[in-house]
Amino acid sequence: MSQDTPLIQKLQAGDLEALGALYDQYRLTVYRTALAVTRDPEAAEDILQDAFLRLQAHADQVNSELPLAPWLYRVTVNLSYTWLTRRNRWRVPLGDFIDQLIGPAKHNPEPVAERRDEQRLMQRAIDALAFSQRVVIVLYYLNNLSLQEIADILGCPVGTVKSRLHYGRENLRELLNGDAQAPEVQYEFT
Amino acid sequence: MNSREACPPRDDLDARIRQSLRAAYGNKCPARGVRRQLMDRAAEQRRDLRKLALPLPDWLSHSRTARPMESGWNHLDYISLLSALGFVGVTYAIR
Repeated sequence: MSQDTPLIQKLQAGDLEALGALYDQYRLTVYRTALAVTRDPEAAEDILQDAFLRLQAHADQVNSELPLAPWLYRVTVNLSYTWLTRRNRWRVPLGDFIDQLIGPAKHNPEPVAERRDEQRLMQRAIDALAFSQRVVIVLYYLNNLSLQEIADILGCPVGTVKSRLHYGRENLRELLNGDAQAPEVQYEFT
Repeated sequence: MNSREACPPRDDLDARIRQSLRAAYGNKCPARGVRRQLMDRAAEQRRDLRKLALPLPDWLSHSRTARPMESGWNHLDYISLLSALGFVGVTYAIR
């Protein structure tokens, strides 16, 4: 029996207040995870709502004896994936169009101060990761979950999580090093 | 099981990633209106789910053999009638 058991059982019995209580308990976890994966506050709020609506719709399939967090993480990851897939379907052609319009200007140097901003660099690097690596990085570093917990959420072996974390980290290192060297390269052309 | 020990940090990159993610998202909260909107949608979803789960009529909620015989006919009577009609139809077609 977990601490969520009474609330899940109430929700299964049709108690809307129980849904509100579970929302109050897990809203930050779900919202911050969705926000870190999608980088879009509106999308994160939509995903937050959808996750709890799914919880209500499928309450009878949720095991009330187990903690709810892994179930919510899994739904959040799935909804984030769906959102990113839909967005990319529209964004990629538009991105190509913009590339054609602005051409080399896209690669103009940004202000040095901005480039030195560690947080911005890191976010950009995380954005560039494949979805599978990005999710593992977020769950591991932001949510402080163990490899086993992440494996349970994603429904894959621990070895796969380790591998994704390793390659995600290595990709981040490369991306960050590339960005760090970029201003020097820019100065050669200015 | 805590598998964190199985993947120890090798340099300050781990600390940088953790620090950046927490600085960027660790204090972010959804808007206050999201809860109210969720509860409204949840109530609406509940109504929709109830509509989908319409109660069965009394006579359907009984097992087939135990259904009340409102018209005095049971399913065997209907099967017999259909068989008879089928027999007549086939005979007529042959002739």
